Amino acid sequence: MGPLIRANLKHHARRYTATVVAAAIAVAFVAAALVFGGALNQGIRDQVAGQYTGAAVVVSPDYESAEWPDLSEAVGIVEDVPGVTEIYVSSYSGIELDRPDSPWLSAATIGGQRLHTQTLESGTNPTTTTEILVSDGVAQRYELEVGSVLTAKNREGNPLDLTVTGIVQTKQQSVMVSVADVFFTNEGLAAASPGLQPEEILAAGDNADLPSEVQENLATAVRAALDEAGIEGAVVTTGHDATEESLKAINTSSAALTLMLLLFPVIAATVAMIVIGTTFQVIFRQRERELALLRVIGATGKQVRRLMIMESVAVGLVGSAIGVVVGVLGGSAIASAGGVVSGFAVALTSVSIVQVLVLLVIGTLLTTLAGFRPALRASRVAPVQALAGRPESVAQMTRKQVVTGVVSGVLTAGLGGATAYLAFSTTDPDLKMERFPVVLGLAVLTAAALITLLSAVLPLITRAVGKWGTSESYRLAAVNTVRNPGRTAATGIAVFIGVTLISMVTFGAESLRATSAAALDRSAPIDLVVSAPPAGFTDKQLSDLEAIPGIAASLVVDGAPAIVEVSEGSEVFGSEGTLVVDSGLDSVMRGSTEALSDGEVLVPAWLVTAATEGSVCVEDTCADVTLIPSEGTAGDDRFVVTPATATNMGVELAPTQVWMQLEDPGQYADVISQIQESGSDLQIEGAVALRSAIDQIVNILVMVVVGLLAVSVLVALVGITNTLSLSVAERSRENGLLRALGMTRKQVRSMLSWEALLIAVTSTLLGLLAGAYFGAVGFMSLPTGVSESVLAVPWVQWLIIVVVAIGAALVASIVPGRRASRVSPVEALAAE
Amino acid sequence: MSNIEPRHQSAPTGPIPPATAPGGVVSSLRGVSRLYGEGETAVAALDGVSVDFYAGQFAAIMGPSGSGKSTMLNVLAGLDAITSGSVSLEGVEFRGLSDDKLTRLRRDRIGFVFQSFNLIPTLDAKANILLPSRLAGHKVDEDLYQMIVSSLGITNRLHHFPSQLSGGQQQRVALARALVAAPAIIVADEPTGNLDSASTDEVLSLLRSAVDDLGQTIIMVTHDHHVAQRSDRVIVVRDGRIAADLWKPSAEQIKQVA
Repeated sequence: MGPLIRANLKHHARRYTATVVAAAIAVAFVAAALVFGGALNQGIRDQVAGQYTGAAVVVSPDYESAEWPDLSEAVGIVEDVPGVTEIYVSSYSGIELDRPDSPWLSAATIGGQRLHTQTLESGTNPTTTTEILVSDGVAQRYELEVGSVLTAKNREGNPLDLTVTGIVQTKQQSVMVSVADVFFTNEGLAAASPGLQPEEILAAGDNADLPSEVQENLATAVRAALDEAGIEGAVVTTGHDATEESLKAINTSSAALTLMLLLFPVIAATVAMIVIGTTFQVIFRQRERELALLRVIGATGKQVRRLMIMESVAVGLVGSAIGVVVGVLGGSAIASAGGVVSGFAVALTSVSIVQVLVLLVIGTLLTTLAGFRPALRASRVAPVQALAGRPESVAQMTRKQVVTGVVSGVLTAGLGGATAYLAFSTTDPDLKMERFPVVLGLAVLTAAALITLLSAVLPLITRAVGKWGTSESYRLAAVNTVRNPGRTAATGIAVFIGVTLISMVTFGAESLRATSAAALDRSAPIDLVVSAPPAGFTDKQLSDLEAIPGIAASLVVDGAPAIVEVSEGSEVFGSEGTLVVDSGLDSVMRGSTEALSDGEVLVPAWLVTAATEGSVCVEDTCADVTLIPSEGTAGDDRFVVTPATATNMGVELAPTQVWMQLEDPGQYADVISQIQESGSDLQIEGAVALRSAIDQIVNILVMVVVGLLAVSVLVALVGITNTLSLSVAERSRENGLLRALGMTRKQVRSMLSWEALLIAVTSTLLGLLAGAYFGAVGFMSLPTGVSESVLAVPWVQWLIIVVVAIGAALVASIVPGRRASRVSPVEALAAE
Repeated sequence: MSNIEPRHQSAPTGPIPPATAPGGVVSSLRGVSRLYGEGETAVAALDGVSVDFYAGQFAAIMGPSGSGKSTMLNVLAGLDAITSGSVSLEGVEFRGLSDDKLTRLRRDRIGFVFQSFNLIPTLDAKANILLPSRLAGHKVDEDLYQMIVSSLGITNRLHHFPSQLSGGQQQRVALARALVAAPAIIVADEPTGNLDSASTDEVLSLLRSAVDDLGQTIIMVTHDHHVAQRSDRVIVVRDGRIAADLWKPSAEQIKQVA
């Protein structure tokens, strides 16, 4: 049988392409995830171990002790212990850059000779408190070089002017290593972060790599010194032990990380199994006569089956091997390019040979398993039957299918209804938290029931859709999808799973975006508020502001500095702010202002909790008014009145603010720098940066997840091509007859395209609906604590999904369609 | 004959000419050769064949296996390309026609009845009959359709699928499909090859009356003497050449040459 298998594989190599491709993609994805996860873990381990490099003794606060330990005093004591040559104090600190987007940069001290030694790309170490090193990443991002001056604020908001003396090389280190963005001298960091407490004190001996006993001796000495000074709450360990401890701590989390990374590859592998099963069906069906001939000349059914299975094993092995190689190399390339590890070779070594072998075996096994049923069916075909060609009849829905359809339909509706009820019937976060595991379990069951339902009814849907067609190619394609309902269903479900997951993620993300946007519309409805300097706006400033591009609407608001007084019991509180007149504020706000009548003032919600009496004063003119708490319009320090209220008060008002709504919140940085150009004395505030940040986070989330899920869809497409190839192979006589009867090549091609479109588009549309359902249920059942969840359909992304599905179906039908249209009527009909 | 679109030509009407006095030439082969393979190993399935087929005539092509009779049928129906010579239908020369034009010509002007696998299994009888006109996007002459299905006796089988029909019934549906487009010729490749003798008789009678009553032109390939005997003309092919061309031959004559 050996020679036959070899000959078969050689001869049928091209036919196995789809199988190998599907297996290889899935295995490659798993392998890449393993390598990436391994590299990520390696990176984290390097970082964790790296922070103690050169440390003989580590002094850390004892978090178990009742009082919060303060190591500040320990620093000097540790430094003076005989044998300690160098210490390094690590702490959590940072500065805020003075830029429109106010980025936060983490700060640390420069290291010494043995501890936290920084490699300088250029420049020298800082010597004064206002000199710093910056990391190469930061230097690149903010276009800094040696000699540049950074303006920043410390934690307390005090301005800092810092001069860059050098740039630290971090590119060769892992990105995951939380190297700081800027580095101060010890004194510099203390000045930039007053009251900073040490997190850890590292101490080095006279050698960077001391043996354990020597480290232990030094630790004992440090312990004794601390005890003597009466410092409590400090834990003293050796560098070795500290490294071990922290590595142990991350082991559990790294296992969880790898599992999470494997989620998407496992989804892709599931889809691949479905597709691989149909590819084997294609191949064995195409070779039915050849197999029958083997039977005729004396091969037993068992031998034929063994032949098929051996071929499956060989194909699975080849596909898995290709997948492992591509996946390991690709994963390493991504990991090293993404800076997770320091280099390609390091990434390669992060996956073990055992893992590779296990993956190879699993890939081969699963491929073989997928090929088992088709092999079984192929070996059962009676020799005569296969040689004579199987009589073709239109598949009718069997009783079993009807039962399956009805039962799974009822289950889907019941489970789905229950899931939705649990998810939608409460807004209480605690209750949601309680119900979450139940909803999750029910949703998984609903999905299983739905897939079973679709496997029974999907072909019926495609045929029903075909009833509305007018073109004969379309109608023929529609009836062709029911010829082998199982195959159509499997192909469609592969697409359905991928699309459902993508649609679910995009729907959830869009809802998240809409919900946070709705919350922002209420709490922070104004993109930007530009306040006038004390002297008021100049005419030029107003016209400049008006002319800034990228602004959807702007409004010059009249007002004056004012004080609101509210009495609480016998005490009277006064609050300073700006009186502004509501002259159509709605036009520049997202959301809308609260209802406001004459004699009422909208004030910040922190000032009053409910409508109450109070007074508002501009200079010496005061008026008694009703104070209405406002969540958004009043902001932190605005008092909003109607024009009539302002007129009645008889105070003189001038333009004090310009309110702006941006066309694209993402472009806010440009707009802000333009505003700053029209006057450095203008004050700018607003929620636009937050809005833009949320958008960005959601976008990145969607991009990453959709990218990962796209692999599953890719595998499903291989499935469509494959199913069409099978159609073409099975129906070559029929296509020949159609050609003889006057079907043009174009009509044959479009018949195949319609078949692909019917399967792909029907599954895609059903997938979108299912994704919306699961996305809505998931989003509503998440215990987010948001008072008002908004569900939103990501129309644009859905449109893209449908367009991609149509395009992909057309592409998938090119090769099979061409082959079908080239069928010679004479040859096809002669094959009697 | 002018080279106008064949579709617009009127189908033969009025009294049907007797088979011995046929109408004009419908299909014509001139010096047709069909070689398979190349160079020294080339085999001539047809070797310089010239023959005309006349309107309203029921012609039978006979010959042993591999004689070239099926190739001849395929060639004159525009299914197979020729190596040299010329083939025309209603004066339209096949050579130089694009695949699309040739396909349309087949669809509109040629009816087909094969030995087996005549019908698309996913379509019911009616949809099979109307398939060529639907492919063309034409409306079918409703009266003609009714007349044909009732005269073929398949009125109550129209919504059956091929798998639910007997062999004879399938051939009737195929014949109905061929007739309904009122084509210039109907080519039939062993139309009775898979049938029992009773069904064979029926199908032959139907073919016969299509010629006699509707004035249809039919060219049929068969290897059965009895079948051939029901035709107006028997052409015997041997080794890619026409060995005999008999008009209204007797059973004896056929036996001698075939």
